[in-house]
Amino acid sequence: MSAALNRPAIRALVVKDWQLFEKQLAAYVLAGIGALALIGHAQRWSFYVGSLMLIIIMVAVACFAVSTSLLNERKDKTLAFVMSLPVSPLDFYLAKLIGNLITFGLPFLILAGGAVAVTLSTPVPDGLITLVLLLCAHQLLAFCLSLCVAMQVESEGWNIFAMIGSSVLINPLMAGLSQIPDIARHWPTNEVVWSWQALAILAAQLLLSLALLGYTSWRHLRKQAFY
Amino acid sequence: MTPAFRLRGVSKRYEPFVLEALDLDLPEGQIMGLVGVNGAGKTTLLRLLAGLTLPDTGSVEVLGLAMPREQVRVKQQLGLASEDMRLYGSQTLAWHMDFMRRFYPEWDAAYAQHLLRRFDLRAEQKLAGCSHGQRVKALLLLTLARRPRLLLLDEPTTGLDPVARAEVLEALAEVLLDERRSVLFSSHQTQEVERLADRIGFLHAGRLLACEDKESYLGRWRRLVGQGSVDELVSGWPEVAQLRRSGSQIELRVREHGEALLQRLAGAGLQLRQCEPMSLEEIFVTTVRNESRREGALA
Amino acid sequence: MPLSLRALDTLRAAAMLAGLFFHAALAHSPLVQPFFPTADASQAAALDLLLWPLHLVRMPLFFVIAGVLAARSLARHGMAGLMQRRARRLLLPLLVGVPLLHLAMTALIQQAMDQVQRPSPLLRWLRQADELSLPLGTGHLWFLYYLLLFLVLLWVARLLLPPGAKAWLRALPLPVWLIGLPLLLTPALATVSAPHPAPEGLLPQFWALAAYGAYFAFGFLFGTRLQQLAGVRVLALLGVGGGLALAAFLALLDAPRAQAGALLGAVSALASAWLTLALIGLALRTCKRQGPLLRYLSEASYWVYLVHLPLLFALQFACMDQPWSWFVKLPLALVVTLGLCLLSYELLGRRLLGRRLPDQARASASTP
Repeated sequence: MSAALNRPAIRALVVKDWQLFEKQLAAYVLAGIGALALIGHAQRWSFYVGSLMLIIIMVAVACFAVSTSLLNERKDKTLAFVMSLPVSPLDFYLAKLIGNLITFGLPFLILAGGAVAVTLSTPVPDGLITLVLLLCAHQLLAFCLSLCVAMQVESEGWNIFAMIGSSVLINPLMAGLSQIPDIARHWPTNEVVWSWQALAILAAQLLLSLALLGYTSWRHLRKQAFY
Repeated sequence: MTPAFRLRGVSKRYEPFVLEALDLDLPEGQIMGLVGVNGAGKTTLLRLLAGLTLPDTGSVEVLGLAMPREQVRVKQQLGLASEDMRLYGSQTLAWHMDFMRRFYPEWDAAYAQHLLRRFDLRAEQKLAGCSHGQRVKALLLLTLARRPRLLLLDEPTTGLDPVARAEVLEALAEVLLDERRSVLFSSHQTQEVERLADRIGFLHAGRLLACEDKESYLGRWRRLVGQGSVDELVSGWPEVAQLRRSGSQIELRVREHGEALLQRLAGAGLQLRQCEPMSLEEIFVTTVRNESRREGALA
Repeated sequence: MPLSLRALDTLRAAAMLAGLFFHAALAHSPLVQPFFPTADASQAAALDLLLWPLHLVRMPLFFVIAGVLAARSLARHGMAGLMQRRARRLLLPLLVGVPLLHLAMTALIQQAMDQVQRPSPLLRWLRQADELSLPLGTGHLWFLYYLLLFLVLLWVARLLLPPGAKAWLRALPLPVWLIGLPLLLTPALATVSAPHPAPEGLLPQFWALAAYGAYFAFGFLFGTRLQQLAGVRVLALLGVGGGLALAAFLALLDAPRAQAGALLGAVSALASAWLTLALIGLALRTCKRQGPLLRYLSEASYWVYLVHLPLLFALQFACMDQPWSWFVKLPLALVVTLGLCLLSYELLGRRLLGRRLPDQARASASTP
C-alpha cells in the first residue's frame, strides 16, 4: 500500500466534485443570502421565514453534498470510471472527504456565522447564542455521520435514513436542552453564559464528529483495493 | 521484454461465484481476446488486472509491477473501459477531456481531436443527451487518447451500429501498430476476436478453459463429417467434444485434431467425408455446451 | 484600455478621499447634529449643500468602478482567480478590521462620554444610558461586506442564469440603463431614511443589495462601453437632469426623515444615478494622465479609507471642547487625519496590503 499522497490527483478529484455540485451550491447560497436579508428586514414575519429558510438550507446542503458526491456516483456508475484513473483508494477517500468538507463547510460556516450575527445584532436575546451554537454543532455532527455512513455503506436506504434521521433529531435536541435549567435559564437574557452542561454537550458533539471522521479514515487507510 | 500482464494461481471468491486458480499471460505487443458467456468471470478478471480488487490467492503482475500495490503507477499506463462504467451525464465531452488531462501528462490532444472527428462526436454536447453508441465511443476516446501501454476493454463494441463498430475496430488496430502496446478485450462477438486477436482466452464459469495462440487453437479444432457405425464410446474420448448423428450422417467436433486421431476414428468405424476447420463461434458454443453437460453430470 | 482605467482609478481614489472629508464634515452639519457622535457646537448650514450631494454619488461611484474592475479581473484570471484576489484584498481587511474598529470606537466613545465638556446631543443621550453597548456592525467598512456579497452573487448569477439572459443583460444599451437605474433605485431609497443611511448591520439589507447591487451590475455589464458616457451630449443630459433632481432633493430635504417617501426617493435616485454616471464620463474625458502624486494618493487611498475613522473621531473628540470655528476645526481634522493615515500607510499599510513601491507601480496604474 502506497502511503504517499498523490496530491495532484486528489486536487483534480476535489475540483471535479466541486464542479459537479456547483450549480446546486449556488442555489443554496442564493437562498441563504435571501434568508439572512429576510431576517435583517426586522419584521416578525420575515424573521420567522428567514430563520426557517436558514435551517432548511443547512440541512439540505448537508444531505445533497453527500448524496451528490457519493451516492449518485454509485447509482450513476461513474464510480467505476473514477476508479480506473491513476488513484489509490486512499486518494479517492481523501478527495471525497476534503470535497465534502468544502462543499458543506463553506455554506455551513456562512450560515452559522449568519445565525450568530442574527442573535447578536437583532433584538433576539443574546443568551440564545448557546442554543444557536449547539444546534449548529448538531448539524455538523449530522453531516459527519451522513458522510461516514455514505463512505462505508452502499445501500441507498440506509444512507437516506442516516441523513434524515440525524437531521430530524434537532427537535428532540432542542426539547432536551430546554429541560436543562442551567442552559435554558439564560436564553431569554442578554447574557451569554456557557454552563458546564452546555460546554460538555458542545464538546461531545465536536469530539464525536471528529471521531466519526477518524473512524472512516482509519477504515479507508487499511483498504488496499477498491472492491 | 516484460509481459503485458502475468497472473499466477489467481483466484477470487464472490459468493456464489468463484474464479478458480488460473494462470494467464499476455506478451507485450499482443492482443488477447477473452471469450465467455455473461457471468463467466470476465469482469472479475479485468478488475483483478486493473488492481481494483485483491485476489484471494496468487500473484498479479501488470506491466512488470505487482498489483494492487502499484496500482497508481500501473493505472497511469493502463486504459480500462468496462461495461459498468459511466461518464458524468451533466457534463460535456470537452469537460471530460479536460478532466483526464489532469491525470495523464501523456494525454495526446491531437490524437483526441483526430478520434473526435473519426468517431463523429461533438465535444460540446452534454453526455446525457448522447445515444448509447456515442457514449461508448466517448469512453473509448477518453481511454485511447492517453496512449496507454495496456488496454483492457470489456465488450467494447456491444451496442454499436456496424459503422461505429468498424470505426472502433480500426482505432484498435491502429493502437496495435505500436509494438509496445497490448490489448485485452472481452467480447461476445467471436468474429471480432477471430479477426483481431493474437491470443485467445476462454473463460467459463470461473475456469480458464484455454489460453493460447489463436492460430494453434483454431488449428486444433476440426469438424468431421462422415458415415458409418461409430460406437457411442467415441463421444467419451478426450479429443472428441461432440458427436451427433443425423440419420446415417455422423458429425464429430474434435478438439485435438491430428493424423493419429483420424486413424483411430477410422478404426472405430468412421468413414470420413469432410474435415473442416471450425469458426471460433462454433468452438465457443460447443465448448460451453460441453461444460454445461459436464457440470450437469457432476451435480 | 489603460487610459480609462487610470481615470477610473483616480476617480475611485477621489471617492475614497472624499469619504474622509464627508465623515469629518458631518461633525459640523446641522442636519445630522442630533445623531452624529462627533457633532460639534460650531455648525455650518452651507456644508449640507455640499455633503448630501456628495453622499449621493460617493459610494455609487465606488461600486460602479468595482464592477468594472471585477469584469476585467474575471476575463483575465477566471472566477477562481477573481475570488482569490478579492478574498485577500477585501475579506481579510473586513475580518480583521471590523472587530478592531468596534473595539476602537467603543473605547473612543466611552472616553469621550467621560471627558468631553461640550458633548454632542448623542453623547449626552448616551451618558444617560446605563452602559455603553454599541450595536455590533461593520461600521464604515460596510462597503467591503457588500462588495464581497456582490462577488458571491456574481458567481451565483454566472452559474444559474441561462446563456440567453446573460447575453441580453450584456447587450443592454445606455438609454435602458439611464432609465433603469433610477427606476431600480427609487423603491430602495424610498423605503429607507433620508438622507439614506450606511447599511452597517451584520445582516444584508434588501435596499442596499438592490441599490448598490444595481451600480455594481452596471459597472460589470457596461464597463467596456463606458466611453459612451464621455460624449458631450450625454454629459450635458446627465449633468442638467441630475442637477435638477439634486436641486429638488435639497429643497425637499429640510430635515431628516425616518422614511424618505416616494417623491424624495425618486429625486434622490435620479440625482444619484445620473450624477454618478456624469462624473464617470467627466473623469474619462478629462483625466488623461496620472501624475506621480495622484498615483501615490490612489495607491494609498484604500488604506487611508480603511483606517481613517477612529483617527478622525479621536481628533474631533479631542478638539470638541475648543471654542474654534468649524472653519479651523474641519481643515485641521482633515489635514492631521490624512497625515497620520499616510504615515501609517508608509509604516504598515504598504506591507499589509501588498502594494508595490512607486517605481514598480509604473507597470500598471490600476491592478484590480
